[in-house]
Amino acid sequence: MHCASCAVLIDKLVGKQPGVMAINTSYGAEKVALEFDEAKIQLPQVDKFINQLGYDLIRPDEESGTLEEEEQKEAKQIRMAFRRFMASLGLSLPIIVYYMLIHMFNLPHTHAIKLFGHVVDLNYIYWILSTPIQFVIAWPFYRNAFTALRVGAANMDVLVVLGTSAAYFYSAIGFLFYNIDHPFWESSAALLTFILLGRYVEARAKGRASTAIKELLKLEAKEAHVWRNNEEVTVPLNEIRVDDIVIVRPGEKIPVDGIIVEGRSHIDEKVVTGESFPVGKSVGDEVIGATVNQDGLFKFRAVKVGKDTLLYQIVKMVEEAQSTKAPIQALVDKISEFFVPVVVVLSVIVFAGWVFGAALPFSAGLMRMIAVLVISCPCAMGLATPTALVVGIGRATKFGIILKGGEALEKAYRVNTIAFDKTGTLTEGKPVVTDMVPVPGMDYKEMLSLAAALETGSEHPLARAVVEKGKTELGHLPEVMDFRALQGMGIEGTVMGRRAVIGNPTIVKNLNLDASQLSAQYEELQNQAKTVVYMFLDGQLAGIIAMADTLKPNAVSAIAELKKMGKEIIMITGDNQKTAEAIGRQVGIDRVLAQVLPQDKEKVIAGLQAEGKVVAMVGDGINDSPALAKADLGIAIGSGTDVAIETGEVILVKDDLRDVVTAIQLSGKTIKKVWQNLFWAFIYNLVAIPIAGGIHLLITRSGGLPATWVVNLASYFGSIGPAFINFSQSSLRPEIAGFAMAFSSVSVVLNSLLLKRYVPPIEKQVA
Amino acid sequence: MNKYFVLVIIILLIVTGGLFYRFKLLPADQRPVNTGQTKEITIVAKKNEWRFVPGDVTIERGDRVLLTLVNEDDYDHGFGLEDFGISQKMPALATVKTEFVATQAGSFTFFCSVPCGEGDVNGEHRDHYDMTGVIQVIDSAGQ
Repeated sequence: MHCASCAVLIDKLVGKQPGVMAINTSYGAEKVALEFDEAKIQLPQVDKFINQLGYDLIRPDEESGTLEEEEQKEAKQIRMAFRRFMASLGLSLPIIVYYMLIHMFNLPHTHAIKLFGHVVDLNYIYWILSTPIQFVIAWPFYRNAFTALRVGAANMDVLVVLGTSAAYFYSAIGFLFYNIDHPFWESSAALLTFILLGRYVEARAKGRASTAIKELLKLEAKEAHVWRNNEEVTVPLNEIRVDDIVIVRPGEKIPVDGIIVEGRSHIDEKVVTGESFPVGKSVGDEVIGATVNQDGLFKFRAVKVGKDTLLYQIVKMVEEAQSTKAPIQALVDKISEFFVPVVVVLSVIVFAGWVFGAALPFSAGLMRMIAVLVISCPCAMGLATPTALVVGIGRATKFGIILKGGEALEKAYRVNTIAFDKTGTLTEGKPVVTDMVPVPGMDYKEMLSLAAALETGSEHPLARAVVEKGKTELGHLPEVMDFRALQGMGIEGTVMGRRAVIGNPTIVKNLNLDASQLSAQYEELQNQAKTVVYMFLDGQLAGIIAMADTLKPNAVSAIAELKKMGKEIIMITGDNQKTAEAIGRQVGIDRVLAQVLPQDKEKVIAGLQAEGKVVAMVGDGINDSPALAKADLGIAIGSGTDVAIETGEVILVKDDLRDVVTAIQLSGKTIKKVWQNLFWAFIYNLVAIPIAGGIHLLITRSGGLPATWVVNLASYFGSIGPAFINFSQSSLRPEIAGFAMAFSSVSVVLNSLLLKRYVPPIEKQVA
Repeated sequence: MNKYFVLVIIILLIVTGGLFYRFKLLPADQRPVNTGQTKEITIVAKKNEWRFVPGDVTIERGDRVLLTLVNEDDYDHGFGLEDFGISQKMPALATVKTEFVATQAGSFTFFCSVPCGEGDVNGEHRDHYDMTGVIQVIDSAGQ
């Protein structure tokens, strides 16, 4: 597929086939989602039909593009775009410079040079230079315009082809056969060069979404240890069968989904669930492929292998979400859609007006009609979007925000609802000690010192939180002896000669300890959705320690700012309702969707979209990636997983949630710039259209001579009076075409550069 | 396809409307006249004067005008008489010929259509934009 219209064309024509129920083609991902009735139409028929249209249908099972191939393809496209631009620039530069200088500064010149003793008209050289630009370098424009016209759309390519072809053929035919005074070589050459520059810039800014899937597949374990014929064999992943017994050692990746049959361990399931605490698992518990075994050795029975594993389901979800994402029609295409027919009708009116209305010769009408077509295509049109995007994206990068291409900006601008993942996005994703309540008579420092010392023996993340607090507050920790982990309950050990135990309520019951003294506080902290443990010294309750995942530093102010901007904020989490609401209250989010299974996040986003919302999803985990792909705009946190970063269209490098605000604001500003640029690109040409058509003559002239008001006005202008009269009495002169070209391009570039002045309001507050 | 249909209809409407006006409604005195009379006119771009000579040409309506354009300068000029579809390059030190039929009466401005600089001519400053002239087409038969 070579343009956005191709996708529309395929949808339209294949959709008409009997038996095809639904079709959705994505240009960006180069994917087509097809739903059809096998009784009425077979896939090979669809394949054949798409081939007839000039495309290839690559079925999922035969797709072989590796990450490297894909990257090479992308790099090649960028190289091609650059080469096209350079070739075009090289060929057109002599024309542009020469014409610009002469026309804008009214220089006397001879349009001929001496070559080998012969006088050669420069126009021959221009002709030779501009022909390859028009038909070789700019061939894709013709192809795209043709496709667009087939689907009944008039995109930017149609406008480009219309304007440049008019200029080229007028110039070539006029020069070769009619000795016309001013060919418009530079119009077509400069216009195409500028637009090719724009295309190149855009190609570079565009990040491809499909690498996300490849990143996901990198997560897979490469091989597995399987128990076969009473011995352990190491086999590649694709040789694991259902019901195989798989052995997993500490630190290894779990190869496939299954159920533990022997042993116990803590498993880091962050990749799949987004949950940052390793989960304790023992016989009968499910394990998920691609998660990492932390500390124990266990055996499990494979339940789902190959394409049935949860990881592959996520891959499939990301793939599907990406392919059903509707591409946003570029603003220029939208304008062209309406502009092209208007220009065509206008040129016909101009022709009919002069030839039939004023009964002047055919050639007079034709000249003006062509002039209308030539001037209708603004040179700077191709620069309007890319320059704003480059400055906008560059500015965003300064603030640590990576925006992948123009579509991301455009979508960010439309977003009205923002869904946040909880763990790792709104919160730090690792627990810290929030409260430490010693029993009366117990010294806080002593308690912390003993607790932290004891916890050094444990690898559990909750333990690390206590150790960290101890180290930062006390510096030095005493030594622990006889450390023992009490599976599923807590830990015990001897510190400074005292027997210390830390654990959950189970330990209280099992060791028959008394914890009633602080039960009120315990309950209160638990209600705040904190994880609370008891600490006993020599069998006596010493205090309680509460830990929780804390909010990121700027989460609250970011949410408040987004609310001020009128965005609806939603939090999605796998946590229970109580914890979710507690965090929601802290951060100021009203709508909390709790107990959302990792694989259901995408559905939640789809549900929000069904409510008619334009949804941005902010997330960090692999489990968030289908949702990031599904959302209108995926915003990935920079500290998140590679998959999320590949999937997201916006990446917040600094891990500061306030950048969500900046990203949305800056996107809005950039898109507004694009609009303004298009205005500046079009306005000069728009004004010049009536002049090209000679419509102004109706008022600037009476009886064939300059109207009295023109003469009177000219007398005020002094020395430029004659120029004014002259311009008012003629149609599209090359000076006008050159003026429109130069001024619109300069206006657009300057206007884009103004975007550099943007400073996020949040930064301003700090300053 | 629908859009094209609408577009074609609009264009056809404009053209047929135009044709209808041209052949049915156009007042008799505004219809193009071609008497078959030929008239030869030579217009010279004077050397370094930024002036067409003669700057005022009178002809009869319906004349077939054979224009000889002489450029005395060693740089290019152009001759634009847009109302009759004339737009000719006048290469340096060269003579070009063109022709048109003065089908309509009135005064028609012609101008230099190629940037050609500026200069002082006998104390008067002249430039490219001063290089204009008028063709008067007189309708002696109609009036």
